[in-house]
Amino acid sequence: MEFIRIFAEENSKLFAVQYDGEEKDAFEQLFENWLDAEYLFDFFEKNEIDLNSKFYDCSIVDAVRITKREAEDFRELIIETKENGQIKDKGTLYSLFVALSESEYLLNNFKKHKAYGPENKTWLRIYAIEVQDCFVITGGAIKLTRTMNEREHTTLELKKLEKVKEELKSLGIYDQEGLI
Amino acid sequence: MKEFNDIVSKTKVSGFETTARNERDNKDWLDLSFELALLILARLKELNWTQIQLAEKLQVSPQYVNKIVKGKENLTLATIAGLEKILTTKLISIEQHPVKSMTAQTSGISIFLGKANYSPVGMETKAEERKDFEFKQNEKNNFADAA
Repeated sequence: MEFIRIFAEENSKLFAVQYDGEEKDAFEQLFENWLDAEYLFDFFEKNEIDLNSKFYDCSIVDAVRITKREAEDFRELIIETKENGQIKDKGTLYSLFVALSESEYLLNNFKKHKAYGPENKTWLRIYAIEVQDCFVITGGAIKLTRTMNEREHTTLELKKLEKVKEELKSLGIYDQEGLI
Repeated sequence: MKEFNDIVSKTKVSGFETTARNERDNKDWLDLSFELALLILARLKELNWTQIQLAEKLQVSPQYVNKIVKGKENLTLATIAGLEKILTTKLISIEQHPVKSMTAQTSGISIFLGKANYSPVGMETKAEERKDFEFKQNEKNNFADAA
């Protein structure tokens, strides 16, 4: 895997993983999927049972429209953050990312994070590892269940987070306090 | 022990920003293309057809149909009309407004300007968008008046 800059600016603190064999990095691929009518239609068709839950209760077509609109807003939010020069500011990134789970709050090393889509009742998630004041995006998902372990596609995102964390460790990257 | 920056690629930068800016610049027609793709996918599901079957009926390559259903293809009217015929469904409609007639005094020629507003079937046109369209159309009419 490779670690690449999301923005060209030297002091930007946002990075993404490009997995072996992939043409695009995880961040670019995520937004390409979220703005691809065929990808979204197939996804919601496969996960229709979750979509028909009391919590969401919407059609496949509506789910596709909602996701596309929200992904565009999410993308604009990130571009605006960059244009305002805040993408290099750790504090701003902390307003986008929160710890993946309560147990992550207690960790000092390679904390796993998630970012929510901009709407209140959002199913969009971006996942990242925090390393030396930077955020490395490992992937993202349309999360329709309460926990990530309930579905294959979100379980895969958990595995990716762990894989990237282990890769960073194996490359000898130290954490914020100088401890691996 | 290494700094994280030491392992970051020195040559590659994500295509995220370039794609985002390009799609922002072309948002008007990309939105229409996406909505058309969605309607086509829903119709294929209704008919229980694959993209390959649609490609055969349209006499185009499956790759082209796949491009269409991703919602990022700038379709021609001929392609849309062909899709409507094969899928036996209306994908876009053009509202016919009353034709307003005006006389161009200077040339003595009568100029007829019509107004048309179009939206994919099943998608509500936002009131603001309609207002904006009508405002632009009125501006055109005013320009014609002035000419």
